[in-house]
Amino acid sequence: MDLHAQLTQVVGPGELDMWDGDAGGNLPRVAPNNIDEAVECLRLAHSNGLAVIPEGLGSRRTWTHQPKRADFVLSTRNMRGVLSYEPGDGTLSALAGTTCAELEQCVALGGHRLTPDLPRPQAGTIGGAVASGHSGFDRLRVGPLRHHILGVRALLGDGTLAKSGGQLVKNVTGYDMHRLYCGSFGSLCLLVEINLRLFPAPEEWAAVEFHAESRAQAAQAALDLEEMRLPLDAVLIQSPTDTSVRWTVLAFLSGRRAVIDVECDRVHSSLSDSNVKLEMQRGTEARSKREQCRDLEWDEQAGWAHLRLGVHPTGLPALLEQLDTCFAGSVAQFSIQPLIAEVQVRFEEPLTDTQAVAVHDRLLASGLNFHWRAAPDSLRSQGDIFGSAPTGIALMQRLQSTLDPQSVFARGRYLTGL
Amino acid sequence: MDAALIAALRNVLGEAGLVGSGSRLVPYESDGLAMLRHTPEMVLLPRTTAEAAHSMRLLAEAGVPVVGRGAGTGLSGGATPVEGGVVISLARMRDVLEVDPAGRLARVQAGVVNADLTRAAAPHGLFYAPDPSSQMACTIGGNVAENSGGPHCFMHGSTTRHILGLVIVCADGEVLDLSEPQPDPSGYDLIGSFVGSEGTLGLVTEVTVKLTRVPPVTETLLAVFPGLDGACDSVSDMIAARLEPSALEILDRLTIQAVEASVFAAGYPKTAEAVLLVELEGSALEVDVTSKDVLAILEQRGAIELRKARDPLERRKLWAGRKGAFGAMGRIAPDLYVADAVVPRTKLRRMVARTAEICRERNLRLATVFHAGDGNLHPNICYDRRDLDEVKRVLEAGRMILQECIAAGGSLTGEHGVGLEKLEGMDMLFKQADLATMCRMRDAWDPERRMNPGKLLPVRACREVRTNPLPGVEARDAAAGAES
Ligand SMILES: Cc1cc2nc3c(=O)[nH]c(=O)nc-3n(C[C@H](O)[C@H](O)[C@H](O)COP(=O)(O)OP(=O)(O)OC[C@H]3O[C@@H](n4cnc5c(N)ncnc54)[C@H](O)[C@@H]3O)c2cc1C
Repeated sequence: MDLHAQLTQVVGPGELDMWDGDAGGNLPRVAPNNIDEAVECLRLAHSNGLAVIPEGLGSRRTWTHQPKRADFVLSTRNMRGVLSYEPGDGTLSALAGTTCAELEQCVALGGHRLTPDLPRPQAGTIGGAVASGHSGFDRLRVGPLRHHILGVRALLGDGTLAKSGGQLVKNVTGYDMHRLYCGSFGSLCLLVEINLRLFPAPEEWAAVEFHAESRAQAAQAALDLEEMRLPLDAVLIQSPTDTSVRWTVLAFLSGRRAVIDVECDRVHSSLSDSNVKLEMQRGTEARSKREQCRDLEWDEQAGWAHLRLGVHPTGLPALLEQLDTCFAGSVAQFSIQPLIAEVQVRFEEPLTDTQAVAVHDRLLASGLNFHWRAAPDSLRSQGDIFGSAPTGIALMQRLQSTLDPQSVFARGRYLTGL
Repeated sequence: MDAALIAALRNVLGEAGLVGSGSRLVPYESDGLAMLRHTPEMVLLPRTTAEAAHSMRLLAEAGVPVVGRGAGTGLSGGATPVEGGVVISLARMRDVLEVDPAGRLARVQAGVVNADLTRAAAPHGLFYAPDPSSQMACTIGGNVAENSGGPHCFMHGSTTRHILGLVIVCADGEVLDLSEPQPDPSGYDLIGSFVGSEGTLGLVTEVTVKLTRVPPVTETLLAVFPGLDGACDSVSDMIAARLEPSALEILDRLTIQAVEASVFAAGYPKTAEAVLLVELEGSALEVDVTSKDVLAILEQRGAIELRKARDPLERRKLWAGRKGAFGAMGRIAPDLYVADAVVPRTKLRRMVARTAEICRERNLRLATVFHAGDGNLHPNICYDRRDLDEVKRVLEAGRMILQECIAAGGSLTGEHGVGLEKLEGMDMLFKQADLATMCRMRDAWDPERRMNPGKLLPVRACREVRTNPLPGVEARDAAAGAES
């Protein structure tokens, strides 16, 4: 029986289509309806020496390399639903194929907000978010996503279903395997269930916007806001656009209404002291401004390349210094979150292969920590879109080969061949 | 141990870096779980990562098991060299290497005592947030190994959220320098999966930690209750109302009495059945707004007295009582069995009551003091180790409590670790496949399993994992599988 027929036997004909993605053209994509079917698909791969690309909705397809070899795509898109939401405990358990938007809606009913607060939450699954270690727009407030994963259930390459952690906000029983899986881009396991810690939904939102003459001035303004110890969710600096020559500073606040009222007044008087013209929004307007900025972070217009740079905040000045050199000659837009020292770079025009390679080489030489998120195909198939190899690569390889000795999860998609 | 190996180790560490025999080995026989003891063959005291790495290479060549040790305040037998071999103590690695106020981080040797780190950060308006009650003695290396918590971890998170970098000496002596702080790990999260591994993956010699800004305002409230139910329900209500205090700690009557009779006397009313300590941090306004909501809940749940600490001195006193509680209990019983279960915060009242019942049924005295905000229970059972029947009843009660917590959706340990003590319980919570997967991770770090053998994972022989799942757990998992 050919692979197509075997996969159809497991999931039924409706759940198999063709995926015109990587690794030399079309691949069958199978979307099991439950964990048992996913186990069967993996066992099939395991016993036939096949290589599998795990996927959610495929929204981050360009965030990894093209694999060395792949035989089929295993999508969690049909494994969706909330398994339990405990408003009284502030925890959530969901199948990995559930979209972040569905989860946001679910937990809003109990007065919570979902972390990670990701761009285009309807386009990605929670499993994909965790597998790519994608922290959200609320990172300044709550820290990275990996801190809020309470536990997972995952399928290993041989179809073994293994749990790690639980659904408790505090728990040190056993190794935190979920920390290893978070950000492993499907190179170790297929995540099938995710348990998360939730945060209170704020009573009120505020958005503050003003302009600065230079990047340095904008960065200083952000630091000044931090010094004021405001209830900040995010502070963003945007590079000048076609219509403006100035840098834009955006600060998003949220919290108890009485607190936001007073804090907005404080921001207002502090900035008007320094003669800065300020726009301030509250409530739903502030929220939609925030969502707009959040979604910009991951605007996948065709042909646009997009990359993320990150350093520990101590390295921010050096990072800002290096931007001009690294991106000289390309039309790049920068969204900088200075308080978490993260820079999103979007190219306003498609990069030619030569331009992409030139930027890539300069980034490598600069020693910056970077990840191409919508990488040109030339880089995805040759370079290392995850930047320089980190310390501990030999250990990472051992971890991969002990957890997936038969290379069921397609190799070469993650950094340095993992 | 082989004379040539001893000589080689002496060469690396000097005479003062070796404890080889006699009564000087006794303190290394156990940690705070003194009922389980084993004498190590030798204790090594390196001063630097290089010395530790060199020693580890020699031990690897000789195939000797290695147990890392901080201050030995662990409560699960983690630092007990149950399979013999060598203990490597970090007692001579106590330097704060760097405090970087601008980067809000510090780099320390792993033997630095938790409280000393906060002391070093204080002049910069910063502190190290994880604050185990043992913070005056326990080390940052031990905290990393256990992923330790503490009262203020309710708001700030356990140790893992504060670790930016590690230097690890691996089982074969290789030094893995992961000390450069990165916002996101590049590659697999080695640091995140190492924290909480209880010394079974490698020896930590240096730690880079995140420092937190001292909040502008801190308010400490003491609420006195006529029973534990009201205190527990107050906490569940606060969580359900999504309030965000920084600490929520409960002490019961017996604990209060022990504290008040000790040097840690905090002024808790001696006749109270329970007290709840609530701490709030933030801007003056944030604290004020939350405080009003908290007070309303406390009143509604029947608090008979509410007291706000008037000044930092009173605040410190209230906390000294809480943090000294374990020490104070030495007055009420010769021995104490400290359990460390964790349950969903919606189940606090039921589980606390059930814990008391289990002890009552076995004629055991129970003192309870716990991190209520995190659902992390610490039923402390008083006993006398010379009374063998009592010891039997204590162990039985401990097992029952854990079983009931697991059945209520809880877990074996919230912060003290599995160690030796809860090894048997692992198969109540995990299936064979779960444990075998953890073994695979361990094998990637330490294929010979020489690092702290006999801890955390119930592994007897090479690949044999003992499992005997509770019928309830099996049934629940089957149901979950069917649902999905
Ligand atoms: C009175 C009292 C109160 C306590 N309160 C709390 C509390 O509030 N919260 C809490 O979480 N815990 C608490 N504990 C438990 C204990 O203090 C913590 O687990 C602490 O982190 C242990 O640190 P230590 O330096 O004493 O480590 P040790 O007891 O020496 O070792 C603990 C474990 O870590 C390993 N280890 C130690 N150092 C290293 C290293 N450098 N590299 C690798 N492995 C290492 C050991 O092998 C062992 O498995 C309390 C204990 C006592 C006695």
